[in-house]
Amino acid sequence: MSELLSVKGLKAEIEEKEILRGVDLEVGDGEVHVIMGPNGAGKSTLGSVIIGDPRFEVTGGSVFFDGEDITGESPDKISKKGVFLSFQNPIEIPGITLGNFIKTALEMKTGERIKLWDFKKKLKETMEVLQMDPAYAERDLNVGFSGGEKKKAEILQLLMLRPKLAILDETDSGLDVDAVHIVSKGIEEYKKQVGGALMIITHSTKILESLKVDKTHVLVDGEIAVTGDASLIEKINNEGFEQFIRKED
Amino acid sequence: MKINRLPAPTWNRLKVNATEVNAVRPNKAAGYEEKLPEGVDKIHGRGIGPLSDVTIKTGLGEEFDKFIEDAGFKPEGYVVSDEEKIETPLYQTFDVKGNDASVALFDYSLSDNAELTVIQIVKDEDNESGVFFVQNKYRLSKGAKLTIVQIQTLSESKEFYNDIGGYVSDDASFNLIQIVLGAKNNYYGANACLAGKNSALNLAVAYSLKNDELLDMNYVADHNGKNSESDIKANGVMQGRANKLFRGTIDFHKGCAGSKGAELEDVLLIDDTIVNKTVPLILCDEEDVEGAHGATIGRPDESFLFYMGSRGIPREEAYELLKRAKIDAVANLIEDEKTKTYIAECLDRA
Repeated sequence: MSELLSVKGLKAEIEEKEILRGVDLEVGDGEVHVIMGPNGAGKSTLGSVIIGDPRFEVTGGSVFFDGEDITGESPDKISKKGVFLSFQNPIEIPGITLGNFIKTALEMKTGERIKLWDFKKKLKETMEVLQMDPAYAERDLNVGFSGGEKKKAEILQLLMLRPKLAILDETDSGLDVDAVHIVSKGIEEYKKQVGGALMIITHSTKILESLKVDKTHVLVDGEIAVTGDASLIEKINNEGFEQFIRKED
Repeated sequence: MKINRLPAPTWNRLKVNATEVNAVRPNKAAGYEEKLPEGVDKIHGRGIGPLSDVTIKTGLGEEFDKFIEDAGFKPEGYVVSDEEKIETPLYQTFDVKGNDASVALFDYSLSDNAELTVIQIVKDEDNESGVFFVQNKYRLSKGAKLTIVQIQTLSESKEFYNDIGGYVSDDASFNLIQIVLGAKNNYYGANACLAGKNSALNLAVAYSLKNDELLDMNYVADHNGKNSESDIKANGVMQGRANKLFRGTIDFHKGCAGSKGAELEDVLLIDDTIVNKTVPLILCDEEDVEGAHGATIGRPDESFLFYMGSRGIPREEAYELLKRAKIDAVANLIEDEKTKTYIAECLDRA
């Protein structure tokens, strides 16, 4: 498979505290990569820095996407190239409805006005996949949504925006068994419909059950400590991260 | 003359007690298109209906009222009889043309339990530096309900004076919805005398100011009746070198026991070059009342812009979405779908 994302020696800091200390990672077209690691290892930071979160300063290395250097680019430009980040804690935006937000994002992506009727039809169909009440489309974005509904709203955006690479930052955290099942179905649907690549940041393996994982990376203290295949997930589940932390020491 | 005078002055050095203007004397009655619904009687001249002896105070104030009266133009009066609930709005569309100083004066008298909605659209299709004055006075008898909706989309060369005042009897309510999308200089004032028990004022204004636009406001809820209620909301977005002064007064007079008043302002500041002033005032001459003021004033935070960016929405478009949201929050209070569509089209064109 051709290379879609290439992260080389990526270093990043926030308020002069170094979080990423030289991350190397390559994701091919349509591949599924899992990022695991102990709390505070820098997993979420990696996702944020790839999509250009301005809170972080890139102090070294580079990020290439689809052959283009996107290091230091603004999030909107990176997003338009086809990168999507599903937030661990999506913010609430009073006044902007979920439907209007997605429609605007789609129009920004395509550069064209979208017919309201066509959009509403597609949105309703997609919400059905995620068992979302269509009334949520008219509600202010994430305002008063439960944790599960917020995560579903993120996956709804993923399915509507159809990016080439989706970074899912602990999309399954805080969800009950049923919600994890629905969100997993949404991710499966993304693979089926779009065939895009996935970078899944997770502590849990439930969300991975229906996916064919190509590579697993263990991030420890801002660096990839080890990369393996899907079997590494099982190993971590049984033995934890301690072996990698010790290796670091 | 001085307009938009605060009911109780604060420090002079703050320059918010009143606004000094040199308005051109009105020289022409404004032309307008009107759709008069059945059940509304139109009478030329002021002083109509059961409360015709009541003196009306307006938001722009006494000096402005006299200035308009001295110009010699007569108002158009509208009367709705007892128990008449007019379902179709009264539409008035003003196309402000040329360099004239034109004026439109209206008096509304609603008898017991009567209901009426008035929708006024103020627009222009030229870029001439004209001035437009509009004054609405209302007298609401027991249980009556009047809603005035005003949408203003004048070009940036126009000056607009918008004055409202009225009297609200027992169980009657006055609703005012204003959308301000244009004009170089805007002077808005509204005064509601909540005279009757359980009388109510619901006021919501949304504005989008850009370049050198000015919006000078003075809203007053005069609580006199027992258990009267007022709710004043102002939503706005400011860009460029726009200048805004919001005065909101809840005045609890002796005898208005059990009354409640609240004012809430939400302003989004996009550029550092704007001038934003707010004067919230709660005056209290009665013990058993509740008054509240709240304000949210600030710039969109970085987490909002990042979230938007992560979906391909750049900063400028994110601001546009927020601006739209602030206007929509007020526009959605309008029941008339045609008017809501008109506002959406105006925003699309902007």
